[in-house]
Amino acid sequence: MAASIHPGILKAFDSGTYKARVHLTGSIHMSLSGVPTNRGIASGDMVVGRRVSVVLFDETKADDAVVTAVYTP
Amino acid sequence: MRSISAALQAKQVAASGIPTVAIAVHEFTRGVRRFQFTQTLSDGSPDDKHDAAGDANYLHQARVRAGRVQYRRTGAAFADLGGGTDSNEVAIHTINNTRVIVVYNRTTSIMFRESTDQGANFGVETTIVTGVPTTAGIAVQYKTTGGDLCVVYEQSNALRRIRRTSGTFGSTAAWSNSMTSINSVGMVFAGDFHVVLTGVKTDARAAVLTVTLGDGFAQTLDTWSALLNLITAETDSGITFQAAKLNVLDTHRLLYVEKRASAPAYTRTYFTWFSATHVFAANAWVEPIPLQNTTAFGYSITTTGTGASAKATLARPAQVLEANLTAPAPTVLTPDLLEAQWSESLRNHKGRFVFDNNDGRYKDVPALIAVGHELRVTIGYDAESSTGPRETIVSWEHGHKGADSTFVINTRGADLWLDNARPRTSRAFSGLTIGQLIQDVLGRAGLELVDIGGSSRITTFILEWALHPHQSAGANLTELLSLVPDIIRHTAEFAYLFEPLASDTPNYDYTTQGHTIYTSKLRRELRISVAEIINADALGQAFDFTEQAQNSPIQDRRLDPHTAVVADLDGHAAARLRKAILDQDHGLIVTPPHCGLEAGDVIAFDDAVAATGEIKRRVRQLDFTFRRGRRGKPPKFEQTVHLGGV
Repeated sequence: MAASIHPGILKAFDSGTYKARVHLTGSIHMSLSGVPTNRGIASGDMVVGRRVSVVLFDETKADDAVVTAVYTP
Repeated sequence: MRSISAALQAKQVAASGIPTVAIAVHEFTRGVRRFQFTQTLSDGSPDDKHDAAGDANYLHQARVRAGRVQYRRTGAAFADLGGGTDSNEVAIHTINNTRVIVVYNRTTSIMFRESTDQGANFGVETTIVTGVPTTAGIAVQYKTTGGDLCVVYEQSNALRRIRRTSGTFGSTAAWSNSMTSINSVGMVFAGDFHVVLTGVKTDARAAVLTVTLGDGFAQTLDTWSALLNLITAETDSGITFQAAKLNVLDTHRLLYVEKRASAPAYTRTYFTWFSATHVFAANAWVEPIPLQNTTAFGYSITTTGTGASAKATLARPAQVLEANLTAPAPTVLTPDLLEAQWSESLRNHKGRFVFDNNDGRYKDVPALIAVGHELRVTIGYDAESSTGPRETIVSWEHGHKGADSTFVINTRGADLWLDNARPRTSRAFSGLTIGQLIQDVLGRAGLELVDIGGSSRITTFILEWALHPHQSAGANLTELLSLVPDIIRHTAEFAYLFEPLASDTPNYDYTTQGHTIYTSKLRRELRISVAEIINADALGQAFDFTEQAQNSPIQDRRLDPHTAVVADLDGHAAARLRKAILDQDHGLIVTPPHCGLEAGDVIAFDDAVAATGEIKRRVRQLDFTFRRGRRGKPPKFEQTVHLGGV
């Protein structure tokens, strides 16, 4: 399935593995776990509750993705 | 191919015959009753924990009001039944128009009172089991008219069961699963005891789950199945689930309450079901649908009455809603049919049915002609006919052109539900076979997977998969099927999965059967002959060197993140080549309709000027046209068979 970019909310971040749990906007109940995060983002910026941008390289595989940006609107 | 009678086969190859196309609209959707609930009671009772069960004459309801267990049956008011003010859970069931049992807790004891005269009188309060810390859920189901039954209740965050056999309660037994907490339980006996529960799983996520307590039907006696997720909510989603209820009406129907604490806060009842012929263990529930109810304890679901007067009933203390359990007689539209056109490919069905409205007879559209209802077609010749498509009404039109006024119904097939079914939440799977994933995707759209000859990859290829709210079930189904050599033929709510083989023998031979072919247009075009599936860590390949003819390959390359196993990637590549063969446009033939032919069937015919020997092709799509002769237009009854590779 095609790649796509989605807004989301950071729910958790592991600075060791540099993986995040992200709640994609539009998903009512569940978030995506184990999403790799851009190593260019300082771990201190990965604050739970902040908005993030997520690229899903293939929408059918949850961890075939990367958090590309963290931002405050 | 659908079976047709020998008489119909003779008619469809006869030199002449009168076309038969019959149209009727049924109050069904995806093969199950589409209930039209109306309110039959509203009395302002407070919202309490409750349960309900119906028999031929009464709706029996029980509730816990300020610690008191209370009971009422149709026509009466709630009255105390329990012996104290220390109850918090209650369950009720009835059987054979005689027995009614109310099971409830009083602090640490599970008690019951039972009636053998439809609730007119109850026996004394009797203890079933003691030493149960205040329970968070009770369910009871009779198994026999003699009073054998099973009670399931929550104790210390686990479910336990106790059976009554020949009037005597046995010992209790705990289940074999684990939960962090349970806050409600519902149950129905359908061969085994089918249970729904809400609570918090050991991963701290709130969930609605199902589990089977065996009674020796599909699950070994007194063993518990594993828990099956119906819906799960993240720990920080602010969602809790409660008030789970389950019953079998025309099919399994399940309700629960979803409560969201974070903004926007809401409390709402959701319901779901699965295809009537599916099994409980398939866990193939339709994506839950909201009901117009915001009470914390939702609805109980049961049936009342018998025969044609039987009702599907949603009940809570303050309100009863009823719908006819039996569908009304279908609305038959055949006499007014002027034209009918429908097409069927493996996935997409589309129909347009034109009716005479010159006298305005469809000015007031009949009640059964409603979006979502089923339009069923019967096709044949003279008095011989066969069941044809079963489609869903998506729209209707009133139109004028010159002196003609028409009423038009437009329909679609399973593709309508596949395109419109979207999960409310992201769902990530691991450890499921591709067949199980396909079953889940179809089930959420209200469709039933029927494996009639799938490949081994369907049951052996395990992969991770994710669904998202922005994706349709159809998009996911397409992606899943692209990984395997199998195809699915959609017929109403059934999705027949099979592996089409090049060696398949023809389902029908037009030449041998003497079936007229009006026209033919046979094509040959290039197709993909090289498929490469690329993973970051591996590469899968498949080649069709004959098709490639050494120097003219059409190449197909795609990424596949799901596996780095070369054999699986090779399998994916081989599937791409097989699908290219099936999708290849080999032209078409136009014939008098074959009333049983379906997409995916293999047909054969001879065409002496186009090929030497038998031509064998697989049906890619069927187009039907029926038109009564009128106003200078000649009558028409024909079938265009679009051909693909075998």
